[in-house]
Amino acid sequence: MLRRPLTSLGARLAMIAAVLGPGMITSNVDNDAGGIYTYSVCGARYGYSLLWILVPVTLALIVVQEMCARMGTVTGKGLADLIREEFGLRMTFLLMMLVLVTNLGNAAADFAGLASAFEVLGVGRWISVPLGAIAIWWLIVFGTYKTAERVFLVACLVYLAYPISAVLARPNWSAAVAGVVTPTLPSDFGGIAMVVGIVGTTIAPWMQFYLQSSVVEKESRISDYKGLRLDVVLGSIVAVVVAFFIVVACAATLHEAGVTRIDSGADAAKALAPLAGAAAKYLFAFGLAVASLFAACILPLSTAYSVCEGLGLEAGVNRRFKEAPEFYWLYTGIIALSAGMILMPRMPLLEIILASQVLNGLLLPVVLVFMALLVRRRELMGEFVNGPVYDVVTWGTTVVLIGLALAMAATSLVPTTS
Amino acid sequence: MVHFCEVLDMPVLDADGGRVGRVDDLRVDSHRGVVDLVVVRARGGTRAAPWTALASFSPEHRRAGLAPGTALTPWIPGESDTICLRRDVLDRQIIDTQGRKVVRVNDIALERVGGSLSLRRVEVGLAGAVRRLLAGWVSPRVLRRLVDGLSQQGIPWDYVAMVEPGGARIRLKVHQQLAKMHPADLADILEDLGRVQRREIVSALDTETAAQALSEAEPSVQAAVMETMQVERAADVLEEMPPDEAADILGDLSEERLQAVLDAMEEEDAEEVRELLAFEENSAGGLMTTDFFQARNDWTVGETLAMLQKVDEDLIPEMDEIPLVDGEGKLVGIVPLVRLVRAPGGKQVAELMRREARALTTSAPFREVVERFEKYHLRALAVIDEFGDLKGMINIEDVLSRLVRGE
Repeated sequence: MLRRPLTSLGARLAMIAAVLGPGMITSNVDNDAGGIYTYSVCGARYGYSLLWILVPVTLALIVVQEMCARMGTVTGKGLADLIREEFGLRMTFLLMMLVLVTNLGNAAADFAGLASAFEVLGVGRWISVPLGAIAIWWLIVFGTYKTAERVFLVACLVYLAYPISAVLARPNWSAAVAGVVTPTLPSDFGGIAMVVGIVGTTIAPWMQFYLQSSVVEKESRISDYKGLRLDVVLGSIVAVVVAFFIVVACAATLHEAGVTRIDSGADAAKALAPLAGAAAKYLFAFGLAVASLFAACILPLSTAYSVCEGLGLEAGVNRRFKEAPEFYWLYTGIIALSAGMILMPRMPLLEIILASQVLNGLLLPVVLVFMALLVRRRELMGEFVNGPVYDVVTWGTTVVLIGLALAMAATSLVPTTS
Repeated sequence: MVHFCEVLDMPVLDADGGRVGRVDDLRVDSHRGVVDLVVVRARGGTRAAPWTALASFSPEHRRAGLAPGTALTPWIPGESDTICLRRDVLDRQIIDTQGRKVVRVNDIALERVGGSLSLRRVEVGLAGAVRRLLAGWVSPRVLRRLVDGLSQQGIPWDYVAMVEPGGARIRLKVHQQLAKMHPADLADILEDLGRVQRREIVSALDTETAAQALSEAEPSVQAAVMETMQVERAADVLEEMPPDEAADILGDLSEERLQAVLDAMEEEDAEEVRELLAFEENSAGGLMTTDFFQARNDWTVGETLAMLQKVDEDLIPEMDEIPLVDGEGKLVGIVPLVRLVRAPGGKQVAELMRREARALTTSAPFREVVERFEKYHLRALAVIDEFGDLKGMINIEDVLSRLVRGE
């Protein structure tokens, strides 16, 4: 049998991309502008003290992502599809509206990330945001996204700068370890919002929809599920490791130096100074721009897919505009609205980014409830229903998040003393 | 016209006007398309009453009344030849065999005919969605007026094929529906469905229809379907295909799977496919079919036409140009079918042939094949080996479909 021609460059590139499974790709997109800034602000404002959150978050991330991958593999359907089929149109409609609003915030955060990356380089948002939006729209509508994805994935290696920089900054390791093992919870609104934001940016609701759809699209099968599970677990760990080092780098360079506020990209870029010195801002701007563009490509697309899937409208980039008008209008509308939001006068970029991640953290328990109910249905999952450990982690995360949301609401009523 | 979303959760009253429960589902006899059972969500659990036990049924007033003396029986789901509208149809994906696409059901329209309630169509448009969202919250009359202005997209029940057919009889109906569609449309539908649903649909098709639909589908879909099919059935489906297409599909499978399927195929078919698999995919050899009609150069026109009439129907699309071979199987020339039909029966067929050496060898790259087709305005091209023996034929369709796929 000779039909194995792996000689062309394209075929080799395809092989490399094939090694990077849906789990790895999702976790790379996870560290978008929202992630980078949330972790940076966390490190600068709270030093090492909130690092412990990453431990339960890792566990929850692995469990949640694995559930998505398993549901996608067993049922061959996307998350929005399943919710529609099991919970009916009304529930789906409500959830999709929430997803739409939250994801608009996330897309806006990514355009804000793009704007702030270019502002570090002295390029105004009036140039970077419209150009970025048009480029993204073009990539998808004219179908060159798959090539772009590979470029993005390679560019994501820039995240390696954070671990290196964190180590070079000679952080106070004993304080870092103490931060990991001793849970301390801030009691003011800002602090609780920070915790919710960290959970929301690491386990973003849209990621679950995106991951499950990619698993379905890859035609993954039960027989090779072990490989997929490994990919998802490794991807989750990589995502949190990057997050850990961003927090440590910021804590070591900013918090220790007495800088507890991050007001712009230029401030956040200082975390990379131990590695890159004066060039830190270029490295930071490049990384942030890549991360923002990558996520800004996927988010509007994934959102338009989920909403159309859930509401039973035609969707897909392989359809013509006339065949799937709602899909294309939704996709275009999300990009236009979120980019437009950033262009409004005096729009505070960082606040938008952080607020959108808190919104993620508030939507997450809702999505988790749906997932937990779906994954326990035997007629859907057969022998692949959740085991007790999974149930405990999922419901535990849900309850804790609802508790945090209530705490946020409560503290927002109390006047802050700081 | 009765809309299913208005029936759902409607109170069910007993003969004295006391509430028994709410409508949970309607069961339909899949054969006649008529509601035969009402599933009621009662306090003590899910129960059922035959349709004939209802004394009144009025969605306008949102209630259904049981006839005096009716006792509800416990509801046992799982009778496979029936369809439950909420469980199996509402919110599910179905295939619109007339519009040839996969759609999701927002609502179901039923009609009262005499004393019975029969299925009319499923609604997939915005009107159905809005009615569904608001049903129960807005009064039925207001809702109807509101929805009337929106686009109604209904698919008659006769044109609905279920994606996840349960019982044998439903499966049969699905098959009858889908068999009416053009294989290329069926292939588009397969591409739109998920892996699990695709397996369901392919298993509802007979071998020949499955083979036709699969050969029109994208290579990735072909491979995915083949990987999940039982080896025996995969072999049967591949035997129905022209060997070149079977080889293309098999070439994308894992080595292990490939061997298993080849071993399960009939020896003769498997041998042809094995030969083709040995060629590079993007060469004339990888493109050609080995299943074609050829004539001997010492035949008369009458003899050739008589042989043509005996040829299997599957080969008809491949017969625009007929290759002539000598006694040793070497290519001598090509006779266009039109010339053959117009010539007197006693004439030697060799006198009609074109002599130009347009044939390519099996190793010729795809680009050369395309250039030759373009240059000589060909509809078919003969492929020979290095000794001049006729090995196969390439058809214009094979070239076109590969060009469209961008290979």
